[in-house]
Amino acid sequence: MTILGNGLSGLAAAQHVLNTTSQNIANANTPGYSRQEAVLASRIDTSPNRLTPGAGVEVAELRRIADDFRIAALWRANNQAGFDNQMETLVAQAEDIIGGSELSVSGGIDSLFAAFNAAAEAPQSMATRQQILSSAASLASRFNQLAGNLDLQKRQIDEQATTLVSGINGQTASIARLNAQIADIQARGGNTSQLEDQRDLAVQKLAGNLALDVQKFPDGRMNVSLSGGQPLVLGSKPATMSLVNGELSLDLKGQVFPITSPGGQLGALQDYRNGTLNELRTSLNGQAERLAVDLNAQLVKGYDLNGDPGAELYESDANDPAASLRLAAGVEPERLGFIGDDGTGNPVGGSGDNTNLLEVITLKSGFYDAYTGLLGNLAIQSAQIQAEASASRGMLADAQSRRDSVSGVSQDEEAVRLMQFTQAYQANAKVVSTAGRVFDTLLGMF
Amino acid sequence: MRVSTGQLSQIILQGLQRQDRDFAKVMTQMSSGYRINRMSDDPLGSVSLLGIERDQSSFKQFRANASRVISRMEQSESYLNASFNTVLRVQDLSLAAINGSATADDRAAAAHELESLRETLVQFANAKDEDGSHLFSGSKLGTPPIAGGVYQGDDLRREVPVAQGVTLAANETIESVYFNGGNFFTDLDAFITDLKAGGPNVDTTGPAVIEAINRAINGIGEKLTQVGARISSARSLDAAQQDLALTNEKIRGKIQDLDYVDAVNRVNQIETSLNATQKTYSKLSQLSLFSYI
Repeated sequence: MTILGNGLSGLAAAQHVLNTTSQNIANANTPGYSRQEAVLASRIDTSPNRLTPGAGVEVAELRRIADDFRIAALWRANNQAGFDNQMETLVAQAEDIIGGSELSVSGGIDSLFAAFNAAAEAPQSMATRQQILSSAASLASRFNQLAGNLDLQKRQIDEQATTLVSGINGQTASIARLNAQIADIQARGGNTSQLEDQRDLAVQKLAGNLALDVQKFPDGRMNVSLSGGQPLVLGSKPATMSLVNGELSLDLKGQVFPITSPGGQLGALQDYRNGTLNELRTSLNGQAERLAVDLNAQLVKGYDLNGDPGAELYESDANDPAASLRLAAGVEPERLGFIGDDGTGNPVGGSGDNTNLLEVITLKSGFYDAYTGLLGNLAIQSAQIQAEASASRGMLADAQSRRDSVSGVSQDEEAVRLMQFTQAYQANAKVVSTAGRVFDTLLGMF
Repeated sequence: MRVSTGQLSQIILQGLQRQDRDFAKVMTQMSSGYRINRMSDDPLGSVSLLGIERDQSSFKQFRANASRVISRMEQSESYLNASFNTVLRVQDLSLAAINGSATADDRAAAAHELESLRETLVQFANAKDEDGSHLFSGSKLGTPPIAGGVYQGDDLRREVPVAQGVTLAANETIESVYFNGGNFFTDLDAFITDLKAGGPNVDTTGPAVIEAINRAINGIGEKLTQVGARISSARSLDAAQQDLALTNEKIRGKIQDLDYVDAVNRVNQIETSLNATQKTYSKLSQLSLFSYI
């Protein structure tokens, strides 16, 4: 009887391994799939007989081959890549906006000061004075457009963040649902391998958007929180994230947690919006204001073609100088104060004097330095984040590879197993038929 | 290390993507001819380029200013030359009229021509440029420098920047020519009146006018020297700016321009490694145990 029982158990075990192999081969290209392995164990014969060889073989366990450490490393790498890729895109956009030659402030400063220089030789000429006003207006409009483009980027960031937040809410909800299913099936002794794969994949996506802390429990459930501690998923309960006026918060069953630095893609959007973009915009405002204040201050020291004190060139609204910079109301070509002061509050000469204009011309280099500094900083930042993003893409590929080297399906391995257990099946079938012949021989004696 | 089937494809795919990115970068550089196409391609180089661009625009500006100074000075020079020749004619006529051998008719004829030459000199002094501004009245461009035999302008000069920290005056005044240590026109007018009257006081007005003529000749000569010197300074400064601009352009080229030999080399390298990757993948994908089952 032992030979028949052992043969049958071998047939069943081989069948089971072949089934598992077929599942692995079928999912060789499924993202997030962890290969499974049927663990064989010899069955013990408990009868008190020391000559019993054993009671055959059995599939003791179906193992999901996964290394939590490698999976967590993959999540961290995806988090860094999510942040860096998003930041790289945003800074590159800013570089295009600020550094593009079309709207370059330094090109506008060149044109304005070329016009001032042309007036040095002919300060009385209405044509050169008109040219100064048009160049000044064009420089103001460059400031306006730059400010407008940066404001547009801010609005796009807010829209993108809103979309991302609703995606995040979908991901936390699906992790919570999977938690419930896994706990349920595990309690009933079922195979949770595929559900765990799906949950790991969902957490990986979520990690791309946010910096996470993950805690696993023996009942199969998983708690997910932000690295700042705010809960995203508690067992089967997901939190709801909301974005109102650029402020992020989490709501878990009526309890509200504010979020400042969420990390990942969402963190990049927030950090760039409240950091780099804000600084760029502030710096642009400072430059527009300084241009207006410095030029105005010098021009009003001089006298216009009628011998009256010179007019101001620019005006702007104090709360947003870059967006509102424009020619001052009432500035006309003849009102530009190029004639110098004789020290007693009177014009030093006639319409051909350019003493004050020469003072205006010396202001040029100061305006350049501020803008060049801004561009230089942005270029350095952009190059740096490009290098970081490239590195974190490499790290992500590496982490993915390390996870796949454990959990991924190798077709050659499966082919070997396929052949090995086909042979095992055939051998066990031979055992069964041999048992049959043994019985036949035995029965033939009668 | 265990290698899963998906890993192999991933590694190949990443290699192909990286080579595509490198290829796109070289192609962008080759189509623009620039090594730096975005500021972040080389932040320090880009900042240097901005500085060079700013300098180039200054050089261009200085050269335009120098050329304006030159053309204004040449215009002034031609009026001063014409004035010089006219004053010489005034000198000839005056010397002949003072001569004891001159008859009353000769003196009347000389007076007549001197009157017209006086008008010519005033016209030259009151010359205007193409915009209708007076050349020789200092900063009072709308005021004729000489009216009623007196100087109406001021002594201001319009300094124009022609190099870093260097300015040249773009105008000359006529005051020192005719009103330096006396009034040329008052002396000439007295002489003409005297000649018309038959020359009763030619012994006093004559030497006075010769004295005034000498002062004017010296004055114009001095002006012509100054103007000539300024034109030549403007020319040499202009040439210097041109040299600086050329040097700057060479530096710009070194920073910004693409080394095509290097670029073609990189294209070849990428092509070779792309080919190798593709061949490796097609070989690897055939290597499967399943072909033998």
